[in-house]
Amino acid sequence: MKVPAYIQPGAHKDVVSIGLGWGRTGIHGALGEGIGVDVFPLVEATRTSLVTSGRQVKIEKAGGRTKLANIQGHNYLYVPSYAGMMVNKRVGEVPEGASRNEQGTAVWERPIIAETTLNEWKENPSKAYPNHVEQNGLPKSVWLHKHKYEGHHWGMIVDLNACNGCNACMVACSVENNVPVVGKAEVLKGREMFWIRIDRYYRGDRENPDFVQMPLMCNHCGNAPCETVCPVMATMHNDEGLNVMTYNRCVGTRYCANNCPYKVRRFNFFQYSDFRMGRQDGRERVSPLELVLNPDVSTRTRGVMEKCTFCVHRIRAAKDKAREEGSPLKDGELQTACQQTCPAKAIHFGDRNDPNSVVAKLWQDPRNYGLLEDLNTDPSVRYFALVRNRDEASPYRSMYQAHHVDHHGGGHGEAAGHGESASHEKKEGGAPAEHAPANSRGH
Amino acid sequence: MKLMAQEQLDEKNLLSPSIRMEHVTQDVLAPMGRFPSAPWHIAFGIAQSMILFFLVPVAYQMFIGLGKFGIMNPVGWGVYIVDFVFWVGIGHAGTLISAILFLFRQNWRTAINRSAEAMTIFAVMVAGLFPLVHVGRTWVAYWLVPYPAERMLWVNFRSPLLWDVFAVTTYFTVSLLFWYQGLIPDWATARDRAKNRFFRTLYSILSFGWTGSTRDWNHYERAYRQFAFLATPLVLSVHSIVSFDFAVSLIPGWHTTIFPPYFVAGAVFSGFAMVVTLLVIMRKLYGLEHYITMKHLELMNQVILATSLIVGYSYASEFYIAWYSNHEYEQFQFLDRPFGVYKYCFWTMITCNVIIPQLFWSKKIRTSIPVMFVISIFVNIGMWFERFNIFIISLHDDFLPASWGTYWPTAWDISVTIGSFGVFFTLFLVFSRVFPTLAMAELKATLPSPSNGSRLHAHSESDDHHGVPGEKKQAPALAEVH
Repeated sequence: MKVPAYIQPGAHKDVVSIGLGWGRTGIHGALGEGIGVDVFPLVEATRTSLVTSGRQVKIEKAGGRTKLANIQGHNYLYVPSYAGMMVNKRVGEVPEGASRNEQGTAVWERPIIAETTLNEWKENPSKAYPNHVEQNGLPKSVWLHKHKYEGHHWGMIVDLNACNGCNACMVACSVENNVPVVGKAEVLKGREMFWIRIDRYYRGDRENPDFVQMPLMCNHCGNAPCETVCPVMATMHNDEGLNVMTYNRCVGTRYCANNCPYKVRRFNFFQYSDFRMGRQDGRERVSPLELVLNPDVSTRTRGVMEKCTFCVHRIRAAKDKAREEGSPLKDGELQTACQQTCPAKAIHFGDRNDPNSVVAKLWQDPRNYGLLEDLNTDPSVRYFALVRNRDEASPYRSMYQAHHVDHHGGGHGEAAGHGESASHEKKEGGAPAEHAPANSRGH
Repeated sequence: MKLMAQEQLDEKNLLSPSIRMEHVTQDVLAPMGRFPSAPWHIAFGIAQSMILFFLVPVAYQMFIGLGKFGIMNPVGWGVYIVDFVFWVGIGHAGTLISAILFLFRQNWRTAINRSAEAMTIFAVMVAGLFPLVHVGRTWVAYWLVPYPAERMLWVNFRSPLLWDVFAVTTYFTVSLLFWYQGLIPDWATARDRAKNRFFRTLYSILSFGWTGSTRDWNHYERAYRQFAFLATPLVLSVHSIVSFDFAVSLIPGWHTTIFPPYFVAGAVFSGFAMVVTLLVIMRKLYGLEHYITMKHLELMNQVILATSLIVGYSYASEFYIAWYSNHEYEQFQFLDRPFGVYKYCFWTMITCNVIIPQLFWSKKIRTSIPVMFVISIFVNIGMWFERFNIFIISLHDDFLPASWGTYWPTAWDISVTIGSFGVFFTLFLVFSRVFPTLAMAELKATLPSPSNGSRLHAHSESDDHHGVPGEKKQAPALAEVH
């Protein structure tokens, strides 16, 4: 069988992974024939189970090229530094065998991931932060006043230590919110519709890299760049800190998506909700596929923007229930779909105004940082810095951190090679002792 | 050798010496009265066919959505917006010529202002189509207008897109009124020479019953000046506000304070190039070489050269500021432009906008019609790519490397761009048949008076129909307006 190969950093050179369940025959429809390759012939069936690994196979280069519908094609946080013309400090070495996109004579990272080691963390937690907000504070704001949140103020914490990139949140979100499945052709054009995505970055040596998994959904910014630019106020800030989207009002200028620094807004280029309903070859195939839709969430027509709502329908339902019962909404009664599904408990959601809520407590944790918060977006989603339990100093530095380290006599680390300690398992439980690992908290 | 400045101001060089007032009326009105020539029919046929390139994708898009175009995440604005800004920019030369050059008493404008203003109006009309069709739901695009809706819905006055709506509609309205006002005496001239009752009635209505009395001229001149004053800030404001769409956002490469002057200079640059392109064709097609002389073309080429330098300076300062800011996203953006995936677009822009117009330093080149025609087309190509660079390259790699993507226009995008030229040329060809293509009344003011042979002065009294704002009469009125 002939399958496209996609060589990933960190993959063992003798190992090939292929997804099962593709290349079906005799089944028509959107996910029917002609999609992918059936690799079941490689699976050995024993009496009790299917043996799907450890099989001896022979691999040959077959030639030819195909386009992969890959929404995470950018592997490293490095950006190309054309002809060494970056004026920033040199803070690491180019990974061996880096692709053209990752090469550069001077390498520096974008201030996106906060990462440190346990020892460094104990010594100076602020070293972990990739942007200059921790050191210098927020830049001067043009916002005259802060929004007031008198009732609830929803917030989310995502623990980078806990996330292992299993993508369950993406599936849960898509199912919960009727997010259309747009198919390979659209994804190849860059029109994936996921409301939550996992930005996967490699760090360090290509043979044995570190992984960073960063779940990213709408940050429900306090000072949302999307809200100011919508000409018809289809996207607005509500009094609970949500950045809400009125699909019916949306004209589809796409300005909000352009101005979103996180690029989490998704546009309906076609009538994608029909794809979900099973429209194919011009024929309506409504029944029974409409039954997969969640009746609590409206489907979106073509030409409108959509994005993560923090599961606003669940918030609504939980508030209604609490009101009927005559009791205040208790923390933990309300979970977003991604939070509910996350097996690693990396996602926490709750009311920041409730001092006893898990989120409000975690909000005070020093590991907490906001993605791109130096833009003064005031995100309602906060990330917990990645703290790795290993001896070497963390080699990854943004220009701000490089500056910081220089001041404290620290050297530029070497990017390559972390030996044994770089294994995945170490990622969890790497949090410092005084701040108990988030995945053991609040549940 | 004479100084160049003196040479430019020497109005005797503007029109051929053989032109007399009666020639003006005859030559300008002639195309309106005769059946269109074969070249016109061919040109009109081509332009009409090109409209299909616009209509078919847009009609199809209304049924299926925007998906056939290249836009994607993260590049939400593609060729539609490039075309929009391109066409709005083209429009600027017309207003500059008609308003600003009028206020500065640049009499060489009289031969070109009518067609340049027509170009403005048509370019803004074409530009106005793009924001309408680029939105996801064109049928509700009127929601961008603040009208009293029964559901109390209101627009967001903080959004630059809304400012655009006001800026472009104001610009269009004022340009149209200004243009039409200049036409009134010429309609009257056409009416007086109309051969049948139908045209006499039609032109009579169009000329608002113009009698050519001193009173008429008095009102006319005052109103014309006031429109010139109204239109002058609009030349600067429209493209400034269009540039705010980008300047007030936070995307690296967009978030730039230099954008308003940079966009205005670029707009004048591309607008003048388009005027040169059109006039070179038009003067040939309608035998107007005596009116649109080499002097006019050379002066316009000098404006192109000057604005090319401003635009080139703006490019350079963007790079300097990116370096100086120490803002890493901005720095990466400005390295990505010349060296990234879109590097050919960038270098096309630099070649067409900065390098090629430098040829106009040579008098020989800027007075050669084939060369200036080619250069003017290069400038327009370059300015289209300038917008492409600003919009697409900035969007395609912003903050998070994980959300980067590469946009390329599809055949549909290119089709719509071709089609927009079809819409524009169709309108322009219709204009050139049914409107007086030169401002006759103003032109006559630059001709020697039949009585004493002096130009410009004091012949509005001697010839009611053909008189026009003379400088002596205007000076006190100008003071009143201020």
